[in-house]
Amino acid sequence: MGLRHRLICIAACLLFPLTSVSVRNYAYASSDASIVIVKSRSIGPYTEVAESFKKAMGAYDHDARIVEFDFSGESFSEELRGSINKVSPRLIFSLGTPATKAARQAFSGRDLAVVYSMVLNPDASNIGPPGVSMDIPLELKLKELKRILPDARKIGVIYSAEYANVFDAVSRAAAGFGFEVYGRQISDQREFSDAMSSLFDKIDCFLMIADPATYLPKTTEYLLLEALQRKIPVVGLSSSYTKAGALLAFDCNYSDLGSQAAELVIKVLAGKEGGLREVMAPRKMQFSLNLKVAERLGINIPDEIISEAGEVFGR
Amino acid sequence: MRIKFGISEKIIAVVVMLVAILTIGSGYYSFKSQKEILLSEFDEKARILVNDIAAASEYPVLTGNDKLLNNVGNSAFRQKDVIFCEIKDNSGRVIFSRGTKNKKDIRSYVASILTEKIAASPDEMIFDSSPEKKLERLGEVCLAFSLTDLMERMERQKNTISFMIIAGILVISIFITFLVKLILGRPIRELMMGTKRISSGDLSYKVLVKAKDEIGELADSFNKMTADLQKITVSRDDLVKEVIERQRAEDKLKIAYEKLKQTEAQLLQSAKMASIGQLAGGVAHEINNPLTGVLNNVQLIRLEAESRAEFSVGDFKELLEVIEESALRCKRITQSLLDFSRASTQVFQPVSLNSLAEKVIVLVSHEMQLQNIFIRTENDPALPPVSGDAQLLQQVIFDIVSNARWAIGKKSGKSGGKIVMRTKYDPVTREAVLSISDTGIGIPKENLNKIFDPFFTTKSVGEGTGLGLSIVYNIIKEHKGKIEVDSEPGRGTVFTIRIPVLDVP
Repeated sequence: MGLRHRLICIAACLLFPLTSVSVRNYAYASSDASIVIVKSRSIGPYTEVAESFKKAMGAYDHDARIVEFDFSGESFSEELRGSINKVSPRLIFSLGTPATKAARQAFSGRDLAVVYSMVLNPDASNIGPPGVSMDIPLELKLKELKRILPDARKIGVIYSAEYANVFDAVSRAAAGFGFEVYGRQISDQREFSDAMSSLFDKIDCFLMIADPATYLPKTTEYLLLEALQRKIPVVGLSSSYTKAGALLAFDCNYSDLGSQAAELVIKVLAGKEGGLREVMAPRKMQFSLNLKVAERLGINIPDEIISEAGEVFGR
Repeated sequence: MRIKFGISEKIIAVVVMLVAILTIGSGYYSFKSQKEILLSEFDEKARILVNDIAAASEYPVLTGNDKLLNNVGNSAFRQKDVIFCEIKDNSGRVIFSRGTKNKKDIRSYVASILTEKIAASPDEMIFDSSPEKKLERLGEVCLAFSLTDLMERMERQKNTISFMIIAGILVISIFITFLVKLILGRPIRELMMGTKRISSGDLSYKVLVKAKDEIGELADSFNKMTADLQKITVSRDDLVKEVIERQRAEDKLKIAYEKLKQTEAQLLQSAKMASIGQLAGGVAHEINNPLTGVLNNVQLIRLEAESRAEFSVGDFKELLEVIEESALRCKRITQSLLDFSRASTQVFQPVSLNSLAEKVIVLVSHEMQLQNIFIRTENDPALPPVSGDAQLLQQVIFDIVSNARWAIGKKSGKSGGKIVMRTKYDPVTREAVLSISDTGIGIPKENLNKIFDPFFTTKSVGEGTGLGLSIVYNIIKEHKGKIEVDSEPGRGTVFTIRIPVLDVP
């Protein structure tokens, strides 16, 4: 271990007690009110966002008091609601669609702002502002895709009628990057197989969209398998899909997502104009690669791109 | 015909029976276990297969891919023992079917076709980690398996196990038979042989068993017993020989005793004759006196008769009475002598000791007078008779009186002495007591315990044989009586004879 690492370790040890205290007990100076974090699930990305949020809030206001709750199910229990009321929060920061929907439903009649994060396609779930979505701007994605797969021209998309707007958005954005988009709308899972077979004859890249009605685990499994056999690269929804067999996937930068949410919360608490109406898209993103799949597909990914990847599988 | 089984055969039969029971039991258990294992394996494989087919059907059923569904269904149907495959969708509609299940010995397995549904919100798709997997039922797969092949396998296994059991029992039986015969049969035969030989009298036979176990110990004990028996037999033979020798000796002794008895009787008779010889002079003198009286009175009657013309018997009555009395006296003397001289008949009859004492006085009175010895009796008139031989008892009294006469003569010479015979009845002991006392020289104390020994005598050669008192002692013993002697040297001796009296009615 080098001198630099040792110094970092010592500093971390000295700072840890202070940060742990500050994370749990921020006092919001302006109103002396608390902030409640409600997570839909206790998984890595949610925790990362929550920690990043608390850190960012601490940087803004050392006295901010933040209380954290985990949530499961579809609505807040009386116990959870009582616990939150005891805190007398000024604002609720919800992570994920279920927690956001439940929080807004539980405190709908009160003057209590619920700022969300980690919500994908909030419009499809009827979740309004304020919040920071997980919807990485299509332009960003397509730009990176063009850089990673420069030979790809025809992109295939399967979607349900509910997500036709997403397909339209993809089509529009893709045109700007010289992509040609082929889409198949399905109304039932029984149509997926045919849609996939007919689409694979035309495309040289498949783009998944976050459409729960279309992509069930089994259909996704066969999609990835069939695509591999037909040597068509698949762009997944997250690094989990890359690990499962997609060539690549784009993810939010969850740490930045927390900071971004903290900025919005400060803005809302400060009562700045437009704060309550604001829906932010992630500012930063990262991608993951599966080199084993790339090898199977016969795609050569440059080392400089590999080095930029947030996660690399099949190395 | 009844068949005899030896101990070895019985042990072999019991052990073989136990082995057979255990082997058959374990074979049955093994077969049952194998059957259960086979059925369990079959069941497990069938369940795995039907679940696999259900899993493989998930995608084709989900996506309505009939081609793939047919592939899956046909693939299932081609599996070993599968005779029927049916796939239904969630509404119960049959979307694949092949084969028939209307056969015997089949088992059907059904598995649901399930698929995982993702959560409603799109962001949950991103993380692929829904907290709870939501499964949706798409349909079901039914597979029917034929058990024929399994049954055949079980039958084969049953036959194999049965064969192994029979072979096992045979091999173990042969082995046990050999072992038991070796360990038990041979030593037991050897022991039996030994027993037969011993019973036939061959005590030198040794059982040869080298085993160090209980059989070996038994053989050692048997050999030890045989050796002891041999020793006992030798001792018994010696004993028999000794008994025979003793028998012979006893016979000889009996003969000798008989001879002795004869000799004793002869001696007794000889002594009696000698006594008669001694008495002869006195007896003759005793007879002579009355005879002289008879003669004188007869001559006197003759003279008176010749001098008278007429006379009658009454004229000589007194003379005739004297003659009669004298003749009677002679008769008594001769009768006494006859009685005394008669040999013993050994016949016991009621005898009066008073009478015997009186008869002895008759015989010895003249001799006593010659030596100035006064002899008398003091008899108890109420003395009961005793059971005895009169001749022998008279001999006893005579011998004691003769010894008394000799003792008085030894002490006083011609100056004489006194002999008194007293009889009395002892009611306490129910004995007749006869005591004969004399005033002779007496017997020294040191000789008192010897006087009844045969051939003991203090008399000079020719005066006595030393057998008199010995014979007296034996006669009294034969009469179940006792004889005692009390003597004071220089003053006299008293012999006391006690003989049980006859029961007085």
